[in-house]
Amino acid sequence: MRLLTHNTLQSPLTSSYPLKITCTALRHIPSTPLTTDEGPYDFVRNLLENGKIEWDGVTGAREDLKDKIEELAVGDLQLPSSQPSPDSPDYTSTLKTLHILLLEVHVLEGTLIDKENGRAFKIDNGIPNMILLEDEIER
Amino acid sequence: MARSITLLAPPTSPPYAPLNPHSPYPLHRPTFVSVQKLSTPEHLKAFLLDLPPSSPCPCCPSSSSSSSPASEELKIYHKKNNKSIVIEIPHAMNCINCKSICDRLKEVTSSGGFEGRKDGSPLKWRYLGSANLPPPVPPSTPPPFNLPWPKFNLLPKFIASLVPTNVIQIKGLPGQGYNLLSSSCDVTTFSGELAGLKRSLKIALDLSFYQVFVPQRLDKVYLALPSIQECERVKKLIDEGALEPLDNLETSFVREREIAEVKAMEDTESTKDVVIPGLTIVKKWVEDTSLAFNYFTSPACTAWFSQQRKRGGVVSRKVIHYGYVFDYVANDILREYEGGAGVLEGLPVEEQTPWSFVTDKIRSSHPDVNQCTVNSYLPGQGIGHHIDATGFGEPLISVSLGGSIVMEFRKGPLRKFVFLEDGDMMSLTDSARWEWSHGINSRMTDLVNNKVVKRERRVSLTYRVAVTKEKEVMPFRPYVAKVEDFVKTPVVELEGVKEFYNKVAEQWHHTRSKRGILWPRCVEFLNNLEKYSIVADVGCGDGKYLPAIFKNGCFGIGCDISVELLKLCGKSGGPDVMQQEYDKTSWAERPEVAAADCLRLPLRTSSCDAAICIAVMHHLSTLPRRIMCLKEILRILRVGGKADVQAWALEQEGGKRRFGGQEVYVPFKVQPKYLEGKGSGVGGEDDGDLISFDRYCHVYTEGELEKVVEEVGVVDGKRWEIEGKGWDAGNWWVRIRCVEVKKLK
Repeated sequence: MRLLTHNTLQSPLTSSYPLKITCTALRHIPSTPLTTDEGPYDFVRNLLENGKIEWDGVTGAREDLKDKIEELAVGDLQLPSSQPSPDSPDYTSTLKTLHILLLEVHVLEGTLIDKENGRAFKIDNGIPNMILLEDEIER
Repeated sequence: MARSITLLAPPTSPPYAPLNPHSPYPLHRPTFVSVQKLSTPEHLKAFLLDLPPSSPCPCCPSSSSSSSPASEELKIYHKKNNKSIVIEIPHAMNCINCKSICDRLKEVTSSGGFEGRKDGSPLKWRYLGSANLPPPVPPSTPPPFNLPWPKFNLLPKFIASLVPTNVIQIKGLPGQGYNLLSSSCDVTTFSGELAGLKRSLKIALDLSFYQVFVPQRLDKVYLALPSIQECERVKKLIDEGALEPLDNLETSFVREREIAEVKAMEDTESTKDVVIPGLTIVKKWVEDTSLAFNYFTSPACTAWFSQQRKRGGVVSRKVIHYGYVFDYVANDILREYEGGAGVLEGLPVEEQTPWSFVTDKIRSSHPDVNQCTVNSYLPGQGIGHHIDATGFGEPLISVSLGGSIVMEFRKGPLRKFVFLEDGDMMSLTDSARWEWSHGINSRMTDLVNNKVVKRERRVSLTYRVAVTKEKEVMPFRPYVAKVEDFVKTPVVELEGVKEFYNKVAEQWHHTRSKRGILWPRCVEFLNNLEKYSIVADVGCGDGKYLPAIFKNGCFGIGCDISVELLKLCGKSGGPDVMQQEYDKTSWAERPEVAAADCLRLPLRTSSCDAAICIAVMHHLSTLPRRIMCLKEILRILRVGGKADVQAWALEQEGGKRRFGGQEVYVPFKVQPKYLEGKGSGVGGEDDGDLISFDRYCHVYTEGELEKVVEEVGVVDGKRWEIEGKGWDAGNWWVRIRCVEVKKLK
């Protein structure tokens, strides 16, 4: 599971967002660009500038995975606390960090936790299981 | 014997690929090595204790030690054959990040420091693995060796064939079980990893005689042990944490599981009130079956059985066909079979055989019967659930010889258990022939009238009527929708969709990925997406549209109810690729997926630019659920986002497929090899012929899909607008757009 996926996931039980991540296995897998004609960070830049990235979701995930990210040795991947504007001085380096964080970091094993009621959704082999038990279905 | 040896400083760059730094296993653990061809172990121990400490290691200075290990830290275990010893080396003496301890020992002993053998030949060092567990202590007396030991490749069958057996199942080993040593593993190193797993288990659990088997799905490990006491000891060790830090392990005796199965066996009495139209059973229809039974179980006939298996595919239980030969690959009779096709009288050896009287008796009332299949079942063997192929008409008559079994009939959630004994005749017509599937569970006992009945060798004679192609009847059976609880998932969907896809995932992926057909309307939809879109694939299955999404410069997130299908997303080589391909870098090859219910999508509101929902709506059994699915898709789309929704049409073209009604079960045939390792479900461990699974479908009529769209209404200030609709290659499709609902001021 890439963190961009995490950025769009919410709890199917309470619609709580963002989901807290606990992680036992994290991988960094450098990604090839989607198409040959794009710049290295065009993808995240486009998403960010079109409001498709929830900044709280990214910083939250960054905080949840702090220790694991250190082990990855891909830099500390620090992000500003609020979404930067395109004319901010460190914009390119922020995009680079965002690119690594959202697209190249994969959560392989762990859980996603609904902060509202503590329900944990297991991530197995990079696949989060968001299916509710029959008993949990109310609506 | 004190000698001073200068150890070579560790090289600055590791000569071996370092172990995965993200491995969940802590580095601080002892390492085990074994040394072979050693005459004097004590001598070696003295030598090792005398070794100077290794110099600080550049990659993990904290782990290096400045002092020699104390004698109690260096533990040596003698193997029984006295030819080799196992040495446990505390972490202080080695650093697994920079150089393997084993190689260091090899280096030191071969550089002249230690004369291990009188003839001067070098010692053989083997790295056994690491663990932080209680040290292996040789058992005082070897456990009794009371089982015939199977070869490794026979083990799955071996496990299945034992009932009170000495097998432990371990679930929850990380990385799906095969990689205790490191969490990076590809196909080429799989066998090496398996060997590593075996060694690690051997040391950690102090095993003398054991077999390890990892089923194809890699989700658990079977450990076969020589006695039940040994099993209990090992289970206790694991439960007490012997394999820590691999926590969350679940161990269970396979025997326990089987006992649980027996407990779960339903008594024939429980379904005695279920009536199946067209099912007739005549008890003791053949008075004396001994002639026929003895004939089929005689050595000569057994040889004949083996010879027969070569024709028309192979199944594990023994089969002879008279008349038309049945082709288990095509799941049809061989119509062009030379040498006696259609001639039931063409009996194997002589004109009159000891079982001819059975055939004569059948033909006196059913002269049409022109094909007979003889099945020989050993105790424990069964036959997967199936409805007989449409190449046969009715009736279908089966005569049991020898042992008794319970046959299970199924139709949707309905069950009926039928006890068949020696000499009983069963005839299937009408609903029993075409709508109910039947099968025999693979087990050693049955529960009849609250009594456990042991199975014995059984021979069944199945008489059928092979019909010409034109007369064939479509096997689709109607499903009659019930007033279900709209909140919970209806049973028909749990069984006919979720369970169905989980069971058949591998075969599904195998056959579909080979065909590789994407529905053209959907491909066109995806090609017209704006770059940098976030696209939800609702009901992505094994992810066949995800590459197309990524290739169009978009980010796809696939959702499906079947976890087993999701596991196959991004897998290229079909089901024989044994591991998740973690290291793929291209986006399309590493798709993003989440297991989810399409009625409760785990995606935040207005987060997606587009959605596809292909071949999903026809698996929802009630109108409110179909509406809810489209409501969810509307919720996750932003205003202006588009969705492509397609579902099977009742109206089909050509002769390939025809539906008998809107509510149908569409069977899907699976080769048993794809079910390996799935203990659950009837037929899951049966090596029989193609096993048929029922898939529930509600096929759509013209205009029905649009009506569902219109019912959706307003969700979060958005509603659907239909952009296009139509019929294409057997499917109804709608192209819908999410528009803002203007608020009145």
